[in-house]
Amino acid sequence: MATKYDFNPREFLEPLQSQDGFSEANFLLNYQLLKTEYDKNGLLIHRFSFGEIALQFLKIIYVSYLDKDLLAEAEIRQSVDYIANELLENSIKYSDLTATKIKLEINVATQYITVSSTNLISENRRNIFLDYIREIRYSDPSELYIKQLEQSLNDNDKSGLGLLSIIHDYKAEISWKFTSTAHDFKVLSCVIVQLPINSI
Amino acid sequence: MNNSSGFTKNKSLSYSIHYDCENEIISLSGKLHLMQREKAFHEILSWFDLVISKEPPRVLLDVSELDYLNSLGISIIAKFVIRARDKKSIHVAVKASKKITWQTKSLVNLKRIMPSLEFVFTDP
Repeated sequence: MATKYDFNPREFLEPLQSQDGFSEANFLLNYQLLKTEYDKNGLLIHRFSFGEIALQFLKIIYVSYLDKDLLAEAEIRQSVDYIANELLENSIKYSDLTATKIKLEINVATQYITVSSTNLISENRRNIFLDYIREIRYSDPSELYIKQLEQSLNDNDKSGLGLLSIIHDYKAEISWKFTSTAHDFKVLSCVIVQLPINSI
Repeated sequence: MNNSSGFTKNKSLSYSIHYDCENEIISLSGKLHLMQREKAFHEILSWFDLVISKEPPRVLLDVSELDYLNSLGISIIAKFVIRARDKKSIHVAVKASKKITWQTKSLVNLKRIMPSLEFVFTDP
């Protein structure tokens, strides 16, 4: 059964407001080193868990709230791991070759866990993103998701499912922010995912 | 592939892939972040291809111990399910766990592209 996902397309392209941030972790990653490592071994997801950080921050906010519920703990850790790794992988894959850094941020507040990734992209890549954002804005995410599943792996080099699954399966909101830089053809791209804690 | 059964355990990357060709069971476990040019990706694809070409009456995909899978991994499972569906003669069952988030949130959607897909959960 298709579940209709309710989101307001006008909110796309606007950065989400930070929600009385309680704890925030920022990772400034060396793009060139990360890219070399990624090309060789992929994302080292078994070595590092962004979800674990989010979970520990949340436990500080809700002392003893989650202690007895191991399933909820696992779900928070796994949801944030999935989202952060998808964003990070996109940043590695689509960064401009001259990029030096990728910034990954995890903000945990009472209502939301926000994960964002910022990196330098080419103007051309921004236009590709804008087309993709338009496609999401003007489609029913549920239909688009099924269409994407049906077309799985037909497109070379991309699954196209990452961001859609974050919206559709994790009921998170995604927004984008593009900032021009001193360089004419390079743009700073920031993708922000806001995961409502009550949806977990 | 010459040998239709196989086992790959990548200790450093903490996943394992197993194909039992007699019982038509493909098992994936651990944490798997697939990339298209990676060995694990092609290995899984070639086993999926092999199973589809054999057209067994029933195949079981066991992911109940696969704690993590990225969106590309979900896409190749979707592709497998679609190809099995299109053959019309293969019954696909998925052994999954309710304790694993990507399975309860994403994997279950595959029923929308193949309504006869059977889910067997290892936990209540």
